[in-house]
Amino acid sequence: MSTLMKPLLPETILFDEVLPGGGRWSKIVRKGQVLRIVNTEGTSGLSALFYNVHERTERYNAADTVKIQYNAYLKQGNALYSDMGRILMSIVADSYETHDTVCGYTMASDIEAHCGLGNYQTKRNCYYKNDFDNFLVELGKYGMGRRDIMPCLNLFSDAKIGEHGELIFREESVPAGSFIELRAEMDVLVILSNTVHVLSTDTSYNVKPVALIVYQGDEVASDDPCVIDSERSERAFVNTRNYMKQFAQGGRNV
Amino acid sequence: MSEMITVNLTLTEPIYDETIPAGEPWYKVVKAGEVLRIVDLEGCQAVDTLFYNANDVTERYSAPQTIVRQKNIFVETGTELVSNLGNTMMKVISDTCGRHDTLGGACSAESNTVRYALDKLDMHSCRDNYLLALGQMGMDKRDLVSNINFFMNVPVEADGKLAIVDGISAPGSTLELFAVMDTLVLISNCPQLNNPCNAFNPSPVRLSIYKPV
Repeated sequence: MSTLMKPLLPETILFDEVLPGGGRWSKIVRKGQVLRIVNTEGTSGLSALFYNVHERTERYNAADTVKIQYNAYLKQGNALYSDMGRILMSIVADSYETHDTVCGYTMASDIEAHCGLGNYQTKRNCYYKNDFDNFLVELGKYGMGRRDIMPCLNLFSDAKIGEHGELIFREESVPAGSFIELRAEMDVLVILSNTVHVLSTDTSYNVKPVALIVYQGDEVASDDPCVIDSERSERAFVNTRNYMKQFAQGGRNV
Repeated sequence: MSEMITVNLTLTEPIYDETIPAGEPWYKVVKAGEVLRIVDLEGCQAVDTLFYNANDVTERYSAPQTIVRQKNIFVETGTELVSNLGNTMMKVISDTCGRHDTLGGACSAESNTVRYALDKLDMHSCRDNYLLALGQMGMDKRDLVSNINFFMNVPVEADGKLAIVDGISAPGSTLELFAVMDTLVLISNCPQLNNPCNAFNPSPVRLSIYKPV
């Protein structure tokens, strides 16, 4: 677990943006680039989907991610697996290590049940957005749609599984300043939706912004903690690097 | 209501009744009001199952929404299988096994190379079954979402540790699903030989459809 963010050289920073509460965001993060997400105000339930840019039917697979790592919870050193035995992104830093792979996205009806009707007619541009609609809009920009929406990853979400399989959710536990860094191991389309967590019962629709930085990471060392996390991660890196060879240019990996 | 349907079932003849061999795919539409019965004939068999609205297959089973609806990861009697649009597709009206997995998903040739060894790529898998069946129906990989593993035991410990452990499904374990909407049910009768999800011995299951009177 990292508790301090490493300082970045300004010339390595490609993007430095803020995703407001309720907002949606997408970006292509190339192999070797790192997406740093800073939860500046301690919001809960940032939902994420991940796709291989070159073959978008290859996508984040929650089941393979938890099954391959034998854990439903993610932490630094783990990875986000696709459905093709490869790694989309590695978790190279994580100050909070509390993310939800199980509960999925919010729909309009989930938000309305707790926060009431917050439509454009009454709220104008502060209308209450939900993850499913955010995903449809953002995926639509890439010619993608409902069939491309998989069980999502909910970052900064304290949803645990109890002894008898029951869900236990704690909304207030996310510290302001929490951060996670995801390093792309292939070229990845990242889709984010910053609404409330689906298990939230808060009635205010008070979703806080998050900071999003993409920077050029260092070369992945042979003893990189995400590579040597387990025999399984080592094999997944073999698969991923073999896959990426087809995109090598001038004899060098891109 | 559930009990009435179960009682009636014992009095009627199935409109469909087949035994599916180990390792094979299967799919069929179960119409609203009908009941699909799955019998784990020899016990400890994983039955990887997906559900689609038969009239609009872009509406399909959603593991997260099913889990959140009942606030529990395990499927049991009373569980409503919920779609990606939040609608109930099927309801579990009886179950003698007591535990079914929603988290582990399906095995695939590619994930087997990571989980076990790089040379496992040629082993048969549920995903290959799914792709074949979907291809026959004009659907494809985009239609694959996290499935239910009926009769499979995947407990989650306090630290999140997740294990595929020996099954708890006895020979003859029976599950009954009441169709709330016309539901295309897609099954891979799991061929996995690398872990105890099938007790290392994939076996047949019996699938019957009843039309309650």
